[in-house]
Amino acid sequence: MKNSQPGMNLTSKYPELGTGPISTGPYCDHDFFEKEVEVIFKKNWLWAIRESEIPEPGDYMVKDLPTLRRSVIIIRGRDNKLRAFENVCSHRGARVVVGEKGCAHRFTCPFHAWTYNTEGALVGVPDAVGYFDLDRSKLGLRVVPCETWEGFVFVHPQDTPGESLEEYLGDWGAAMRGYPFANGSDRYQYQAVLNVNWKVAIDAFPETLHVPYLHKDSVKPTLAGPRNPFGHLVDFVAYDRHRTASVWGDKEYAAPKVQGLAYTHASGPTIVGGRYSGQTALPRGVNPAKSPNWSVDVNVVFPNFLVVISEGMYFIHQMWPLAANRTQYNLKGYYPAAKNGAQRFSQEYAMIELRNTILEDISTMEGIQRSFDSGMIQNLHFHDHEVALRHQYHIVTSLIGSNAGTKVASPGRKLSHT
Amino acid sequence: MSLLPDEFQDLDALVEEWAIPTSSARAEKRLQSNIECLEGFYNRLAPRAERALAYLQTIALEGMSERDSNLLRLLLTLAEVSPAIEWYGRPDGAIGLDSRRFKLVLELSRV
Repeated sequence: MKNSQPGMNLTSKYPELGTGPISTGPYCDHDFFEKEVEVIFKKNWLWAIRESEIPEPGDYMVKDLPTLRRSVIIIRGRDNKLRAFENVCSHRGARVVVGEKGCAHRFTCPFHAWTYNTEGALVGVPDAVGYFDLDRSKLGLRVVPCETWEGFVFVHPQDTPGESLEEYLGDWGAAMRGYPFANGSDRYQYQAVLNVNWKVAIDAFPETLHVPYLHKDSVKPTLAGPRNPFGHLVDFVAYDRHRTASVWGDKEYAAPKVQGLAYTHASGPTIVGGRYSGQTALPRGVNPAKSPNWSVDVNVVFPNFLVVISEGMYFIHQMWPLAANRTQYNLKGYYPAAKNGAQRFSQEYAMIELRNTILEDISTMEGIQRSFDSGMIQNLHFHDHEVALRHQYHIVTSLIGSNAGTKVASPGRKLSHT
Repeated sequence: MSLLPDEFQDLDALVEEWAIPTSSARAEKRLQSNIECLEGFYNRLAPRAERALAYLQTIALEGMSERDSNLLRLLLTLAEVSPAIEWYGRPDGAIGLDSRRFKLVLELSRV
């Protein structure tokens, strides 16, 4: 058990990551980006929605996949089974469903009213006699592979995924199974389009070395107080393509007045540094070091889905690359349902506290990207506690291969130390 | 007739300006106010917040009366305003970034 400042030697657990400088090429090169879309975003499971967002038969949600310029309808059928379809009418390609969510037993395209049932079959074509040789059996909505893990519904961009979602999530999924995600039924979402590479956006979150400085006005006392002056992690675990950065929290933090009231009245343990009670049974992957000074885990599920887990609340970051230096960033929070006015106040406070903290994170991103784009920095020097960033770089460059003037290892070969 | 539950009638004067119904509008109110104005509101409400939350703890969210929801809205505005006071000492925490670019596209609920 680590009670004081966590030490070094996180990176040395994974010698294949190396310790040398990291090239900025993969964060700004346009050819590299095009390859990322082809090799990563068109070939891996992508998180879409929470199953609880479509609880009743007929409930559906439309989920855009901005990187792929695609739109997917996810619907709960009368048989309670979840199915996903491309939101593209077989007639002229119009979006069949416009709007975020609803409940329906049929989808009628607003353009010429071609109609599909909840299993995607084409069941209605007005003035059908005027078309030539339509084979309705081949003109249903295109099926999108869709699988669920712990209530998280993922879709796969290929018609035939190379691996199941469970295989994809692998050891990370097994280690996290059992966390009470389902209790988070009240939700909110923030969104921004940022002039930044998707990996730069992700890199803001699974390291806390910046907490004492960038977050000096906000969460420094909770996540990096005098007992952890440099904002070290309590642990880092790599799970194949995925990773967990486990964040320290100060148990002795004394909150100012309104913040303290918000913590007191929460409907469950919320995202508060150092308030980990140790009373909740958590799966083995959560707080992997079993540190009493734990606050949250930042889990990066490859490629673009981050789920941040505390003892009783979780939130999600999702980064959708739009170009080498442009990303749609989404923050979604899920809380246990507020039953009374005091709990509702606590939810609001936790949302605002997080938004303020993340605005500080966002404030660095576009400047970093301009430094990369201008070529004014070409090598990055990651600290031992920035190992999650090194791991992401290693995984991405291993998949894409040597490119953009960057020196990277071939898949399966270790990076050399410098 | 009071705009707030009996125990909090002395805060009635805050309701018109600060009992704001949506998260987005509360955030905008914070950004458009100067720090003295935010401090005035905070200093008036924060000392009563503990009592107000003890009261609101007994009030179900479903089917709230207008007076109770006015009180809750005041508290939700306090949640928005308090980081400006307790963290930053200025209305907007973000430096070098227009915080309106980070849009709340889905609110928890309206009250």
